[in-house]
Amino acid sequence: MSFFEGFFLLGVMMIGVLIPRLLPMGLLAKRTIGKNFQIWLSFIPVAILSALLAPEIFMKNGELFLAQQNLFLMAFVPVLIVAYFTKSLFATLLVGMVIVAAMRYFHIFV
Amino acid sequence: MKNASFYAGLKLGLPIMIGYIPLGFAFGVLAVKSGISAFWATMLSLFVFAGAGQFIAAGMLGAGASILSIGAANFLVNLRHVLMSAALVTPWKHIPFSWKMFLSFFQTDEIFAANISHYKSGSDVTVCQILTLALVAHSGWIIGTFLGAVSGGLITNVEVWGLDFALPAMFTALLVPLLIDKIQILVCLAGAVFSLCFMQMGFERWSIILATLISATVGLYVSLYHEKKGQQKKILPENKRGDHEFF
Repeated sequence: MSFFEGFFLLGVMMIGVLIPRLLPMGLLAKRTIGKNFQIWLSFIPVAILSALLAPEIFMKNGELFLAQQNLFLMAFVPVLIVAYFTKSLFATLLVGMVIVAAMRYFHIFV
Repeated sequence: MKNASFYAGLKLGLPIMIGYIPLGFAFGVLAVKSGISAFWATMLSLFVFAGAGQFIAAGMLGAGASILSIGAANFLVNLRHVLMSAALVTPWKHIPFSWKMFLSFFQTDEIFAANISHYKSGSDVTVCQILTLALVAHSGWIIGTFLGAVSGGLITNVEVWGLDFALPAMFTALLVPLLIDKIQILVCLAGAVFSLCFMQMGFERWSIILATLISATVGLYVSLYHEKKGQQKKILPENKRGDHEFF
């Protein structure tokens, strides 16, 4: 990759990330946000996370994959329980990765 | 005071950093395979810091796409950040403007969600906490990318260690504490169902933002409906007390 190509790629990627991340904050910072808009925004974190998570768990290669062989789906159940009871990002991450690694190693559901 | 914010940021940032190292590593490996040099892969992680966008860029470059079309795809998948940025306006209203702009750059899905759950627990919103969280997490992404890019394909199979499950596990851990009432749970289910539907229909680049817009709107209407019902309940006993003469 030439310097010019790399620089061009970086510039193009930076535009695509800076506009969405900075523009709304910049535009809305000095205005008052309406009550309904604020209620709507309060649902954005949950809506985004669940929209990002669902395809990771329930799909593989762009297709629904609801079977015992779907390791992520099988691991999701204990991970959900750990997340609910510990509320700890670290514990959830650790348990999730250990379960998936163990299932692969011992050929459980695979 | 400052110390408490620092430790809060550290406590939130460290697990994200640990999750970002394998993800960054996977990106580094993929980037080098697609013809992005180790230097530019690390620069991308340093100055762009967009997980999904970077993976798509590496994939498209490997498939021979033009840089402009990669830019367009990256912009599209990052559109959801418009909503996240807007959602941070109210909690960040006391932060100086230039800090707001600087800290906004770091708001990836995970860092944003960690910030929001921190505020939901009633904690103070401070520059120190946001910055610590952001820098700690970002360092994981940069270190992971660098290691992946220079490993020269020594470890190409990140799946062996369950490292590919880091992302779903992080999303789950960040999502669960935010489900504080029935409407949030409804929004969560709606987001999942719509996202799967749009993905299945083939709108891969649009599915996240469309699902988010629709399910947040569902949440708004349900909460407005509940509010209305709540008000009617309040009005009724008042009527019995003779307040109805005002109507």
